[in-house]
Amino acid sequence: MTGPVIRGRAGRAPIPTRYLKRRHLYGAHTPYSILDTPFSSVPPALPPTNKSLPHPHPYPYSAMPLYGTALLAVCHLLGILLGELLGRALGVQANVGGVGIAMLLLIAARFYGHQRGWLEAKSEEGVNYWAALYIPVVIAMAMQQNVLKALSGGPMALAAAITTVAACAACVSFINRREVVAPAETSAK
Amino acid sequence: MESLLQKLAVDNGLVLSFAVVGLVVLCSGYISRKLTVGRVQGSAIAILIGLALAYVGGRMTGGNKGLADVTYFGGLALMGGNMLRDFAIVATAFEVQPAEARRAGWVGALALFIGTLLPFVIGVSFAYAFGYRDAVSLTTIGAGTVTYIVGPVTGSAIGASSEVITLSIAVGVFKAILAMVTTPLLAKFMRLGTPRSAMVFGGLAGTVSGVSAGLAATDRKLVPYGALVATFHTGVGCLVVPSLFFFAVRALFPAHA
Repeated sequence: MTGPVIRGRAGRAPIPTRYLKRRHLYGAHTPYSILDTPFSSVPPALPPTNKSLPHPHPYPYSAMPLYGTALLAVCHLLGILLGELLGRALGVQANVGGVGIAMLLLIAARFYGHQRGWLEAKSEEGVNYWAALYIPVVIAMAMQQNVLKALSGGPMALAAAITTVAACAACVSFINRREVVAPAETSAK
Repeated sequence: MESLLQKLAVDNGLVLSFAVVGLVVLCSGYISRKLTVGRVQGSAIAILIGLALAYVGGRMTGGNKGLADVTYFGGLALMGGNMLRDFAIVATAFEVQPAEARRAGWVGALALFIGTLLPFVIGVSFAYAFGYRDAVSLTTIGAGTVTYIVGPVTGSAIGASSEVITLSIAVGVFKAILAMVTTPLLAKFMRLGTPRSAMVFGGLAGTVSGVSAGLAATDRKLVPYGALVATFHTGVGCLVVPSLFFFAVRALFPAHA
């Protein structure tokens, strides 16, 4: 799979032969640095129809981002389904960690996609767009909280909620103060 | 004219909500830069504005979905609803470093356990202090303190009165809102800064909405780690509260059970 050793590339990963074979597609003047970039950012191997186009890809638009979003959707649905089944198996009327399972599935898909080379940079855009939409979605979520009901719970709801948040914050602080020592030691080495 | 605008807003609900949220983000970014000189994050201010608008919306309509109950802003229910929220949370998993997540795995699980037990105990003791003595009501209010979904699920499973269930939802919603507002303020105190610390926070603070909004307002990079743990919170709560915790409470307060 690995190609010939090229001068000036000491200590760097060898270029896979498949990129050297495609080199004519990008033109002989193409610097090796392009071929050296991770496979996910190498342009697709379609012959350019018009040499004057700034982009090596013949079509300005591609379906790639859609694949990413579809991958995200499949992981989401599978995760929710598994969470729902886990809930049933445990006899609970709730989804047990469906979103968490979906996240793990997506992490795994990304890992294997990179390893096997079927996940391209363009496809990742389709996921990253939704990740970027995260904060606006959370703001929309804040806009539809039942603030009125929370305030109408009276002094008991207020007192219990404040105490809980304070106690949890103290607990987080306690655990994190103990935690942070270890990574600081390893980074100092 | 009125009906034309209304038809436009209703037919294009989701699109309109993108524009509305964009406007709120724009305003909050301006406030963050000019009024607080960048000291308070723009997204924290945007969430505060969102909560204030939710209050106004609830006041105007008397509904339970904040601003989304106003006819013009119905699209917000879709944009901020569970479907798109979970979709966006799953998408953030792309930024997770698997090694980091695996290293903090057991701390996250420990935090998840404490984060279920501690709020429950506090909720039960406050319910006791405010005069509830039967095991069913005590457990339901304690469950609401875990998250506002565990409250009604537990309440209906063990047969609590609707008044108590409403109270348990109120406690849970209040906790979520409080987590959204106070997380950026307490971030330094809680040492939020590493993926590991975010996972501990996600387990302890519970409620996906509280954690996701709180971390979004603190540091966007920490969101996936916190959310990864927090999404198990409701499930674990629904698993242990109506069974294990209910039996424990019933053993402690047997007279009225």
